[in-house]
Amino acid sequence: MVENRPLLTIISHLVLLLGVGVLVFPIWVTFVASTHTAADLMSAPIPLWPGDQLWENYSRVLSKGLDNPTAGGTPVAVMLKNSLIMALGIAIGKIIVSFMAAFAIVYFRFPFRMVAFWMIFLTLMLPVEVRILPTYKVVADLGLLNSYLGLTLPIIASATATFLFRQFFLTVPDELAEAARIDGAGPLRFMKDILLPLSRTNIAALFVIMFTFGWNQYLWPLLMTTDPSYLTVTIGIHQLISVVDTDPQWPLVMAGVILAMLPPVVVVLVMQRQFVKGLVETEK
Amino acid sequence: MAGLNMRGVKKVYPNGVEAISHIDLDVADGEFIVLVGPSGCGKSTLLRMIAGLETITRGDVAIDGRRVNDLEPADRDIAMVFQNYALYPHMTVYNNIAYGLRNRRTPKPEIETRVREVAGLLEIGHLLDRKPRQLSGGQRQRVAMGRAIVRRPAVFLFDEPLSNLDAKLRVQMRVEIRRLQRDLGTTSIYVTHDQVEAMTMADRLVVMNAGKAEQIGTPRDVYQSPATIFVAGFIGSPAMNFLEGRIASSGDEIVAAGVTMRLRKGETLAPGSALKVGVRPEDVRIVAGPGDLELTVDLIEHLGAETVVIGRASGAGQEPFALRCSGDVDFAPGRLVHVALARDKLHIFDAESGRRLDVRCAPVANSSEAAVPR
Repeated sequence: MVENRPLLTIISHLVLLLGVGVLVFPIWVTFVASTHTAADLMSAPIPLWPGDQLWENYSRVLSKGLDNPTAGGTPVAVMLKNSLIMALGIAIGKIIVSFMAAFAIVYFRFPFRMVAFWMIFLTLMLPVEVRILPTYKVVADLGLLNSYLGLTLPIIASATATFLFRQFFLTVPDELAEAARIDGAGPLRFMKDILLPLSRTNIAALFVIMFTFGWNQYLWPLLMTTDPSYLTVTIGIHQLISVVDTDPQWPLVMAGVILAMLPPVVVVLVMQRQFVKGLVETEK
Repeated sequence: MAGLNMRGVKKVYPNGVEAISHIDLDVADGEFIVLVGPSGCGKSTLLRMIAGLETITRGDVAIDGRRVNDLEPADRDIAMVFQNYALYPHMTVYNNIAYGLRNRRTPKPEIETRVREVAGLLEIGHLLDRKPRQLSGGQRQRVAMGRAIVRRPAVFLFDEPLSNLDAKLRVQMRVEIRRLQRDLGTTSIYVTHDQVEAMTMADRLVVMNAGKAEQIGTPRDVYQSPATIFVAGFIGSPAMNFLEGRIASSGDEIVAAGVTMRLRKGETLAPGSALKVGVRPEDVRIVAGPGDLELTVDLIEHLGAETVVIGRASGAGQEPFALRCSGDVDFAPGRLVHVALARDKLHIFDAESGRRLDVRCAPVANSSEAAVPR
């Protein structure tokens, strides 16, 4: 719809601004809160402009965490590192595993190929929460509790990503595979030289989704880590709040929240450029 | 440089569909063979079997005297040009052409020289750094050709390579492919459903129908003495006209659409059997007086150099009957015209088997066919 009516333009901008405001305001408040002292926050008008405690609060949270024994005193920097390792492990692992699974299902004729596909597809219906107890048992028996491998491995298999890759591979013209065969490229070389570069946009999109998914994992890390040095930031935030006998140190909690939010935002921003670039450049 | 031999080649798909029932074909070194036929006749399947993209159910395919049935496509010493070009979209033109050589571990400097050489040959030297999507259809076609040529294969396989191009470019590329093939002297198999391409490019044509080769021969042979009714009807545009007929009781005359025609001296056929008599549109002439048939004009197609008159012939039922005449002829639809058939150019087929009968009609003495009425 191409129209040029000033009133409509103003109204649509107003609606958009309103939407942005509703979404951004809580984050703004969080940010502002993280730059004040605890006492400032408790006094009557809640400040709406950043204070002067930014550096102090953030450096304290990052390096020391809360000086509070019940919170374990784990520095947020460690939590961020753990979360980053877990999220990257899950995202990259998922992409590798599902890329290869989809490659096998689409390009090879083997017995029970469709059975394999439907088995993978069926697991779409089973979220982590449903299979969490047997998974826990398996991981515990393998001695993987309190380890990065234990954090990532059970979540790596992904029906969604396999399915997406399969759908994409089906749209790649058969002639491309045939031309590669005639050009003397074996299956692995075809995968590496042709399929992988063509899937770049899909991989970028999946990485964004899967990284966020991995970063936001809560239940699984909660169950399987008891050692504070494997604490992830999603769980860490909760521990920052639940202190006994005193008020939570809100500025520090808010600083932790802001820090927890940053990596997914960065990933989305960085990958989005890749994503758009890929969309413009490739052509099936 | 090598020939190609096919012996009793057969293809049955796993679902039981028989795509190729039986093909024998010997292709000489450097020959340009065109497989032509309607869609679904198995011509592409046959090409893909030669390429190694489809398994061969029975029979043997040999390239340069070497049986290739069980070899991978890459080991068969062939190169293929696909209908949609199948260029690797993310690679530059240079890499597209070089990819096959790289996979063969050709040394880098040699790849460089060969790619440049082929690019020069195809006049795409200035496009080497571009991606396929930045190219026009004709340029993509050239790159696809380059990818095939650079490998210096024994056999080129073309799968309808021109059908995605516009009409003008098609004519141009047609000439170019043929010239290139002649210069390189590489044996080629070319699949098309376009009979103009088939007629103009082929050293020999293989006219296919329902998984069988109906006729193998030079374009001239196929046009002038089609082996079956199918070939006669398929090759030629406008298509050949067919008249129902039979052999007169005397055995040396045939009767078609009410016209009695004498066979050449000494030629006889078993009386009574049903015939189909084919006549090419250019072998029908409009005459002033009573000719062989009367034609009710339905449609006039002005093609510039010539005019095609389409109508219904007396005694030939409702089948359209076409004839070609010079470009300045014009008739109002519905008009009745007299036409004469060039008797000695009629094609006579057995109606039952569809096979050509090796007889001709004797020409009639020129009588009343001089003036063309306007």
